[in-house]
Amino acid sequence: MDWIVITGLLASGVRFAMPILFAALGETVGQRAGVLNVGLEGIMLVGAFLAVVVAMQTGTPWGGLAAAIAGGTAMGLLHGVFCVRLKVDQIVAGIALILLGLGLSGFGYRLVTAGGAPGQVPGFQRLNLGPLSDLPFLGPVLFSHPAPVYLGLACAVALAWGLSRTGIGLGIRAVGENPKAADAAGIDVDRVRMAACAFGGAMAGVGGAFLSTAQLAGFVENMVSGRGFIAIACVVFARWNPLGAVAVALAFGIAEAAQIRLQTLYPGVPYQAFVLLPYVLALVGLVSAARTVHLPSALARPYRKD
Amino acid sequence: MTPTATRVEPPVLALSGLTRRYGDVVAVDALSLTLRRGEVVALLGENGAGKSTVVNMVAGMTQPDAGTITIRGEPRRLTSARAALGAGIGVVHQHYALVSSFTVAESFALGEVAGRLDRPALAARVRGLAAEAGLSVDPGAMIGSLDVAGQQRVEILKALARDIDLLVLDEPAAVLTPDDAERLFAMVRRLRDRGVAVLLITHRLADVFSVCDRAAVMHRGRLVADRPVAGLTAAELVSLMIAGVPDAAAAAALARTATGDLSPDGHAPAPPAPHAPAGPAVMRVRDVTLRRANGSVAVAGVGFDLHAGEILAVAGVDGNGQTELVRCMAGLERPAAGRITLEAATSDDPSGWTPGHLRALGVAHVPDDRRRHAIAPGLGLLDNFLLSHVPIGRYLRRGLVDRVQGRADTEAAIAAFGIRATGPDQPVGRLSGGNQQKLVLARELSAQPRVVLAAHPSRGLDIRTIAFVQDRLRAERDRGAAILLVSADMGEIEGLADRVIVLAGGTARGPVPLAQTTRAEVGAWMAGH
Amino acid sequence: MDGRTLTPRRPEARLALVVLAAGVALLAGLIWLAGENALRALVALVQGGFLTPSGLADTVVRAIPLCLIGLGVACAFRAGVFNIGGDGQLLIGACAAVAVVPLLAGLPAPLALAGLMLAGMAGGAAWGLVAGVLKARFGANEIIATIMLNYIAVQVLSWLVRGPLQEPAGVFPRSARLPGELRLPVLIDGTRISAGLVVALVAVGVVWILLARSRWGYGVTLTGQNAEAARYGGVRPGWVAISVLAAGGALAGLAGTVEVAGLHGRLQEGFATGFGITAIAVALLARLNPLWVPVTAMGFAGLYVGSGTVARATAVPFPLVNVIEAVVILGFLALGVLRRRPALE
Repeated sequence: MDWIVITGLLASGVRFAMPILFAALGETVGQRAGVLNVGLEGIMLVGAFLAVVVAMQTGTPWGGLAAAIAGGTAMGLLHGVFCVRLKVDQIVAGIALILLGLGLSGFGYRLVTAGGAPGQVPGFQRLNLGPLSDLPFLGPVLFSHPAPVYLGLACAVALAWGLSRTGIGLGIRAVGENPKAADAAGIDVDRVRMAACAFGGAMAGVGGAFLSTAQLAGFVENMVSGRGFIAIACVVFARWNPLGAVAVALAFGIAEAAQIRLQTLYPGVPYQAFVLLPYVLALVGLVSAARTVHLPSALARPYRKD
Repeated sequence: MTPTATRVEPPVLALSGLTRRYGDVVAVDALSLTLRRGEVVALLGENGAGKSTVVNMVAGMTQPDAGTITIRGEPRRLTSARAALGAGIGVVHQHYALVSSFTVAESFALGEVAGRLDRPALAARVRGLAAEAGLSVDPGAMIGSLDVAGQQRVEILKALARDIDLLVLDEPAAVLTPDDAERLFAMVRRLRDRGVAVLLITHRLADVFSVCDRAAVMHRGRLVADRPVAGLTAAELVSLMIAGVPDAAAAAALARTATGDLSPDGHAPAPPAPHAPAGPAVMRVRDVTLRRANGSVAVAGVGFDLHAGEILAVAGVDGNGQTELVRCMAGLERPAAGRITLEAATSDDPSGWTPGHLRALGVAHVPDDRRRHAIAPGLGLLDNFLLSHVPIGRYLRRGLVDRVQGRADTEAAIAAFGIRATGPDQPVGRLSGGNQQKLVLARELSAQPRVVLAAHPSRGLDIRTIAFVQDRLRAERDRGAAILLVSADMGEIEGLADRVIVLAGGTARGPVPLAQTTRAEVGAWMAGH
Repeated sequence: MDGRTLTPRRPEARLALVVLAAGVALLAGLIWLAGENALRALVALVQGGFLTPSGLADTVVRAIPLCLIGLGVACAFRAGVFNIGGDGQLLIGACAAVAVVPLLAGLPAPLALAGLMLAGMAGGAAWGLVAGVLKARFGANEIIATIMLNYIAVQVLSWLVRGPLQEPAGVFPRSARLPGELRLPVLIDGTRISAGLVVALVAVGVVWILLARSRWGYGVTLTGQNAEAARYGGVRPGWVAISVLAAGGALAGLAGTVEVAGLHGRLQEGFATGFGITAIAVALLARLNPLWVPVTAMGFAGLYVGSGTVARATAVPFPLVNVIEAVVILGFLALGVLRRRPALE
């Protein structure tokens, strides 16, 4: 393969990685606090939809992003109400979120488009960082992405630092590992978990918004197509480490970018073999990383005092 | 400190009329207890006597139904662990509240620091505290990599870091080696000299005499004694713990009732059946090392044969490897080293050492944590009766579960064991603990087992039921079953066992025939002497 | 351990009631947003799904695969295993069935049909088995694994109908029609209800017997109730996880075969999707009791068909059905909280 192809592959791989990365970062915090949300897919759909609608209304993708954060937070809090406050099965509540997101986004989309085809979506433009963007190879791969890409990477670094080097991070981890210990130390377990749920929802919303206003430009029903689940696999694969999530999400993004290119490169091979690459990668990730000591011990277990 | 000062100063902690009920059970019944500055008080009692509930109320983790807690003269409501800490009470629980993926220093920061962790400062603080208390602790070590004693030191230091007046230690020595225990008590003495009051929850007599000023004994939720240690004898303490009365003779009589020498109805006791000498060995334990769930070695180099027609008692203070031994013998775990073999097994393949395989060969198991391991609370008595039968293919007729037969046998078991239930379909989670235990026993003894592994079979039962259970175990022994009986109750062991093996402090003593030893000797072994 | 406290659960109950009310308000609000009256839409939905002959027939047609997959989900849930892979298992089962069609030529019709269904079940079971082995051997989360296998199955189908299984004409991405003797007969004239209905009801009976009366079913239920106690009693937990996922796969595969042999007559891309997650709701609301599964399957199928009617007759968009399903699941959970007894557990 020549240089230009590889450059393009990596550059689009970075962008393809972002929806997964955002959702995975939020889920990392949630799972570190002991809450498993299998409904990311639904939240991302809502985020993607809201981002498009509000971006068109406000004329700026940032407006869409804010709406996606708000919608995602609401969905995350809903999950929290059920599994943190009401202490029901986290997985069943998550499955309901999948359906809810699918339904709300599809319902809204059809309502909005009932009056005719939607107009142009004001999406995130790729930044031009001047001489940096003009660098050969590094320019396209690192320095010519839409702004949220850099936000996502900064978020990963901040979370990695925050989880391991701050008291709040300690609290989150304690709540997910040994809620009793956290309680004994005076931490309100349920409140920390609710906050983690809200954060996880907000980040999944951002992931959806990135998908519909930065990676693509527009909403299609069910457009997340499994990225929400891949994000969960990504969390496990990365062993609940935000920086690891960057690496794994990049692997998924590059796999997605590669499969598109491989289809044209090897017309003799059925294209489906390439399409399923990211999904197979997710399975491999699950298998390789399961049963590690990194799994938060109290994951998916509601906490009750005494 | 002068005596006058003591009189003027209000006690550090005064409990008055403290009561806590769980459902119908009164766990703590109108308990009053006072601790003054620089006093080390032992709170003694058997398992289930209510000690842990007292700890939980003082720690703010459970609220009393009645009574008051007064701290330095001020009545306080301790509604959370934080409130207790704020009142100057530090509690080191039996199950440590530590996060195993944290470092020691991080454990200290939990709940205290919100922003950036200043690791060097934290480490320095931990080292300073450790030096002050005379404990060795490495601030950079991972909690999960520490042994039990190390984790305990961290918990104690965490409590001391809050500038407390009262330190509550819940069964601190039960899991320690004798050396570690001595180090712990040395620290307790230093704390006492600094004026800290210490409440030491224990059921080890040795702890009382080595470090405590006063002993408070609980029996079935009530405080039955609160006396200075000087002038108390071990025998008195034992009778207080076992029977709630200080009189050894009366206690012995009561214990005999419980062990079946006197039937509870007052009829003349059946003469102890002269049973045949024990038969051949059916299970062999060779050089077995057992690890606790946290990885520490509970006991090393255990070896014995379990014979048909005998009851072999495993005595010891809880947490010395009894649970692990029984779990290994039942096929639920593998020993860390050594071998356990069953004569009836046709193959030596260790991969076949599974609960199902052993059950099919006639190994019955009454575990100590029955709620977690032995019953499905959501299912009815019938389904719980079938629990050890259907998975290995019993109660099947033409390929389907014979629920008619199962129901008949469950009803028979309910009648025979006097289980208080509305019927075979009542969810077992709704039964009292004693009735759950009876169901487990009825089930495990229902298929003419070759080996019975019984961990604390009479714990939590009333005296009448205890006598019944012990009669059943004797009957199984006389039928030719090999019975391993785990018990911490000397009365039970004396009344039932043919031989005894003691697990304590990481080693095993015996087995010796019961006729060749004395209660005092076994008690001394249990205490680690 | 001490006993448990009798903590008052009143705040939880109050919150559950608030959530229930919010769910109803959300649905009414959405319908209002679409410019409709919620009550009228509800009436239209019930009529469209259950009260007209053609609507009811469509509901039964959709309930057949839902019921079959729901049975498999119920088996898995009973053991505490989540099988969200019904869609993928259905597709692979259908593919396997169509793949063996050439081998069944010349057999007497009943035998050939039985062979077709067995092949479908085997295909679905194999797909379920993958997730089961990944879980039992490697501890891989079965939720993510079964969903990933769904996406992979879609691609496998897509390839098969363009490659090895494509119709001889080679124009459309679909297989050749099944020969007549491999079609399930129509059960009620004038409808699309096939003998698949009988297959589904037989499956209900078989699954009920297996769960309620067999040694396997006992082990499954026991594992779900208390996995520790199940192991103590002699159940092998890994085997339970593998077997329930394989059984669920077999039932989904059977559903796929019934869809092909009873409804579509051939394999084509996207011929059956969206059953898997609804089947979870079906199993949950049936309280994992196989005898209730056909009832709840009818309910959710009617909801789907009725929503279609509403969407055609009014401005209320069809995806409302997913919102309703979500509200039903969440409402079911909230009701469970209200029923939760403040007791020993």
